[in-house]
Amino acid sequence: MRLTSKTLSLSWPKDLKASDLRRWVKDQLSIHGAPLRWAITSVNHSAQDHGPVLEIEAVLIE
Amino acid sequence: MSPLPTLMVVPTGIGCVIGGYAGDALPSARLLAAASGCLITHPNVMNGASLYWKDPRIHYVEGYGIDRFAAGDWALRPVRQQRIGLLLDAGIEPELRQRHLQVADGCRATLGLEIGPVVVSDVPLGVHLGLGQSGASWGTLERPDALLRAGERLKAKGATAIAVVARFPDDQGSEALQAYRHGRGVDALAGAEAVISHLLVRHLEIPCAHAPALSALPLDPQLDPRAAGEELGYTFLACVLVGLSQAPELVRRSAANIRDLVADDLGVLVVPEGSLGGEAALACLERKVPVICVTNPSLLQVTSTVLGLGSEVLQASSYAEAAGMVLALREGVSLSALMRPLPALKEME
Repeated sequence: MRLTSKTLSLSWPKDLKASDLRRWVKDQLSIHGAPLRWAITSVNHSAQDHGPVLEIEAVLIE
Repeated sequence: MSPLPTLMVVPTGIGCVIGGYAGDALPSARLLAAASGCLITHPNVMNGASLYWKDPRIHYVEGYGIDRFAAGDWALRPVRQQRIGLLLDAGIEPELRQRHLQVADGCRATLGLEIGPVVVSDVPLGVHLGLGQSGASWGTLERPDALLRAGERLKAKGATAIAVVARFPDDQGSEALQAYRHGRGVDALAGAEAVISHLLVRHLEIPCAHAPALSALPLDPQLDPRAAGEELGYTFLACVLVGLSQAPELVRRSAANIRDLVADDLGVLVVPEGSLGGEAALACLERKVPVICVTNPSLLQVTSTVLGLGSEVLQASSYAEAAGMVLALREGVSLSALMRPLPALKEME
């Protein structure tokens, strides 16, 4: 078992509501390991043509 | 008047002006507990090192357990008493280890807590501190396997909850520590503490909480009152033992009974306005639990506005105002009736 810290930048899908973000983010994190502790730490709206970008900081179990 | 189960979250290690220090959100928790009659909150809110507060209306649940509860995976079962196993990092020096054992003995003798057995990890846990890109404190362990082995031994020996003490790197003289002691910046230890307790709770599914072992600091005449709770003694352990002593049992949702607290019982979430990106807050949005966002500045700006949320999120300028809102929800008083102007009703078109 190994713990790793990761920061992910993910484009927020246009059809995904805020109330559906939790499951989606966990699915994205699971690609890299089992999520132990995580949070969306910023939402960047500057790149409007691509939609908002979520910054996620996480500790994962690999 | 029946209680309105209320979840209060103040995320660890993001520098909240209320709750970013030594249990300094505890007065707000006491107020919310009085307003709601039932408050579920986590160690970062309740732990003031040598200082603590007992209130039968407050349920002390570690952050990973809070996340699972809010998501509907786990239920909370009130207990009369937990048997607290003490897990000590092999990296703690003998004298500091003895200090922790004496705190545990003091809590047995003076408070009547059930504490034991005591297990020392087979190798030092190797705590590393770090900061994320946001500036929030994070951290990792070199030997998570040793932590889990020690936890398994305690559970096998009858512990129903675990207080874990890991040796944290001394940071005396650093700018970050000085800023924290003067009421600025983030708690650099908090992120790693959360990782340790999350890992144990995830693996063992029993209440756990963490206290760091550190060398005593020299006197600082400019100490901020919010950090003072951590400078009263040699350890941060007493509050953890008191909190765990009656922490609710963690039960899988499928095994819950009618008396257990489940996510469906939640009446409201109270959270800092920039902290809606945590798992518990997102789970409450998912489950359509009413959310009160409180003005409590931190490093993070994940607000209802940036998440595109509207009137489903209530805004409070202080925890005192949030407590009033909770009481109104509990009493069934319409919040709009408490505000002015109060627009007249109109027929639907």
